[in-house]
Amino acid sequence: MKIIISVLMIIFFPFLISGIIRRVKSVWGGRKGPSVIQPFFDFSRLMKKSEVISRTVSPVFLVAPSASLAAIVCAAMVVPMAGKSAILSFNGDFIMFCYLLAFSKFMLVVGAMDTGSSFEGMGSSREVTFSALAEPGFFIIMGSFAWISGCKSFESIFQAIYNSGPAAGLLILLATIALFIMLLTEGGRLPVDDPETHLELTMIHEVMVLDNSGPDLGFILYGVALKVFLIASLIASLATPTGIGFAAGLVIFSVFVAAEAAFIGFLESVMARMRMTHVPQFVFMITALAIIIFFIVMTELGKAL
Amino acid sequence: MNLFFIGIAIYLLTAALSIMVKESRKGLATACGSALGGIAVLIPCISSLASGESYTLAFLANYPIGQVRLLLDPFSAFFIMVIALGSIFCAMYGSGYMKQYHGKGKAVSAHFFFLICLFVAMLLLPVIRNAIVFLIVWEIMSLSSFFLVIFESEKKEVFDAGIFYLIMMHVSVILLTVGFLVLIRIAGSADFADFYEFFQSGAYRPASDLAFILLAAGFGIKAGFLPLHSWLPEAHPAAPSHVSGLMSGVMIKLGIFGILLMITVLGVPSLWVCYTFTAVAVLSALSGIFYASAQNDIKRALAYSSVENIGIIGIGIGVAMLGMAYKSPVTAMIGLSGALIHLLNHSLFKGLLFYGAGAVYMQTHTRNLNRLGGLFKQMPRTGTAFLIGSLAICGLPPFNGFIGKFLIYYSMLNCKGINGESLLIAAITSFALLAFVGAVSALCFTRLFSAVFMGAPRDRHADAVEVPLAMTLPMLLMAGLCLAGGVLPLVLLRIVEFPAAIITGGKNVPGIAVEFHDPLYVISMLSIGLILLTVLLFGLRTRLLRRQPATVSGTWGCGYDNPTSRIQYTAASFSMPFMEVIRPVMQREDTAVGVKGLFPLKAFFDFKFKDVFETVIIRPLGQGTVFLLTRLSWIQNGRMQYYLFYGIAFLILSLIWIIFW
Repeated sequence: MKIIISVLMIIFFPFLISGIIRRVKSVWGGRKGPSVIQPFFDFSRLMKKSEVISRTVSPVFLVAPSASLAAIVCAAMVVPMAGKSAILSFNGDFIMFCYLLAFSKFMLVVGAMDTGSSFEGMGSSREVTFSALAEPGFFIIMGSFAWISGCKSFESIFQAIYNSGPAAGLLILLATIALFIMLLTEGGRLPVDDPETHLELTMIHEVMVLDNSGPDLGFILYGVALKVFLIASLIASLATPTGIGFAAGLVIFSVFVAAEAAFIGFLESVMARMRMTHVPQFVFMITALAIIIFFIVMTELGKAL
Repeated sequence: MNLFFIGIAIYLLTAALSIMVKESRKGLATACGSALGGIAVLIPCISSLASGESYTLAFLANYPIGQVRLLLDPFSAFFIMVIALGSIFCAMYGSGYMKQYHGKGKAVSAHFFFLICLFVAMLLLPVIRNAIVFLIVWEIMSLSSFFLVIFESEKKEVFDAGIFYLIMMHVSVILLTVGFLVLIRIAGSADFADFYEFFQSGAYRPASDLAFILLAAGFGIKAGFLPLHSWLPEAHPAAPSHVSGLMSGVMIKLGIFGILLMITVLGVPSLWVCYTFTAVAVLSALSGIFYASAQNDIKRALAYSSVENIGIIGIGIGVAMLGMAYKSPVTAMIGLSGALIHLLNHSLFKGLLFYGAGAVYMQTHTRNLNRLGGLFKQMPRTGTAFLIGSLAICGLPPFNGFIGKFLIYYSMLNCKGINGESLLIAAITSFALLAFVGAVSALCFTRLFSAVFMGAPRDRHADAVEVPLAMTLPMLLMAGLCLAGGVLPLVLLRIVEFPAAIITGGKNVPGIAVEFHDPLYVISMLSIGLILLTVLLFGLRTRLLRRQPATVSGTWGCGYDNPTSRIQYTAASFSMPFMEVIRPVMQREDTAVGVKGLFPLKAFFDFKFKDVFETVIIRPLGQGTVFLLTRLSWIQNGRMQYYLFYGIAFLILSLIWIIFW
């Protein structure tokens, strides 16, 4: 039952998140805006379309979107969702999660470089740079959490972190902020990247998929939305209290995810994109927060010793 | 053990044969001989790895050497397996690669001879358990690889690189000799078993620490640890590609072998040595990948990436050493298994990447990333193998690189509760930096792969075609092994189980099975799932598009209608944003002639990244040595009388020494 609900969430929530973000932005901007399930219609429209393929590309370009989406779907298996339970859970699964996302990024970058377009090269180069800066912070957070909770998988860490002593609330708050910055970075949202346009030299993610069309573009767009959903559900299940039963957990989780989507929409309405040279500093905040988390964990562990 | 020596004999026969047959057959003879010998050597190794048995052979040699003991236990069997596999692929690839030099008056014969010498020396090293014989075989290995490096010695940069390599190897030998002399002096024998009896208890602490540092430095030069790595980016590009693949994939691993051997023989050194070792390993990984992302020469980039991977292996060993020092066998076991698995994996994918680079060089005659491009369509098999190698070296599932890295990460998660803060700080720092290294290596290898194989050709090399089967076959086989290791991690674990237990000394540690097997089992499931899902999605995509023919057009240039291949993003620009972020640690030298006036004539911009360690440590050391030696040059003045005087003075002094001590 839990697994079926998780699978359904993996299929539908990414579309809903994009829908909510779009809706919030248009309401904020004084428009009525499309329905929240519009991204789903966009996706099915793309699935029916034919493709335009560049003369330059090799077979790698054709395989890349499928491989990239497959990796994100595999990564979804280990992410705890409603009731803090994941479909698969094993010790060290967060390492696999990170590397699966990296695999998906690798394939997308290689596919983008295959077109030989300078725009896509620029986007790829920025994509790998910023995600490299986001990585260490995430590992410090998860490593510290693993130590303080004595567990080694997403699911068990998130369940145990609540009862990990007086500093638990503070730890969760800091981790939530850090993960949210990671969400903005990995999902290609403002202020790191502007998902609205690609006709600027300053874009990252959108510019990488300029030459993809049809089902491939659909895979990529769904993949990005799924990635946003996965990190959002990490935050949501980290912040959900433990021991409230599955049904209540499901409701709280869904509300959390929707609230995050609305918050992203709100942020994108009121903020401008950062200058490219300032983005690394912003991304590096993840590591800064992570180091604070580590020191708190150290003090807590020091008391226990 | 018998089969092992039969294998060695086959190699030696092949060496003789390769000299005798005519030039066009030498490669084939070497490849066949190595394959045969390699398989003969592999059989006893596999049986030892599977059963945990060991075979010994001992004989007495003349005075200074003493008893020579040969030991084939799972630990040495593991390294022999890595070497034998590497040599089989190397000889096969080399037979195709050397064809371009046939009939040009090159020393092809000597090349193949020394190649087999190198194989034999490397295969013998792991079984030798006598310090003096070990040094002799070590020297044979260094020298034969030197001759392989300077194959194109008529080129100045090749010769210079060769000499640099030779000097570095002899600094390494000096350190090793001194280290072993310290041990021999205390233990009174050159047999490693006697070392073990003397030093294992830690009774000779300062002396054994000193010996460990000297030996680790000597082996570290071979392995390519910071700050002694600078021969790698010189020698690897200079050597023919199969040799660089062999050196980078296999030979530098013998440096790691030496360090591990010293841990088994001398016991775990003092804590501060363990911490320093780990720090050096982390720094090697970090700066290795930084420099690798900055290079514009494909083989230099691969060489620096070897420094990175040696660093990662070193991190695993460091964690294992700390685990042993703090008496936590589980941590030690996981860390070391990770290190050994990564070592085996690196020998596969680094060899593969160098062979791929060699195939590209053979077809285009350039190693400059900014001039290559678009080769995937012309060389699909090489391109596919290179892509798999790149994915594997970044440690991405479903390939083997992930397994080793995962276990190294995993060992650090086990560091809680063993000791106080110092271990935790060390563990979290290496944990985070390892993740950073992994992410930057994704940058480095997306850059390498796309600059060479993706996009449109930047220069004219339209005549590039796929390389012959003798070269693609080893690459594809290695790529297949990379994939197999990723989906069957439990097999990899089985291979390193006994060797890791021998080194950490923990045979039956309770709880190991649960710690290891369960995660790896799920990883294997997920990896298979990833492959199946990719195939499924690709199938879905093909099905959806079946009725709708794709429109082929130019790449969308955002409205610009007349693109050329030269406006593509180059490798240099690809890594530039990252290089700007790490500017404080990467020294860049810009040379620019800017645009001046209303009618500018000529403008150019060039930059290169300096290797800080080379300019700060290696160069001054070299200059200092030259300065010192010129001051001493009066000793060698070429006059016979002086030389006679030196002889007499030496005799008198030794007489005095004998009488009075």
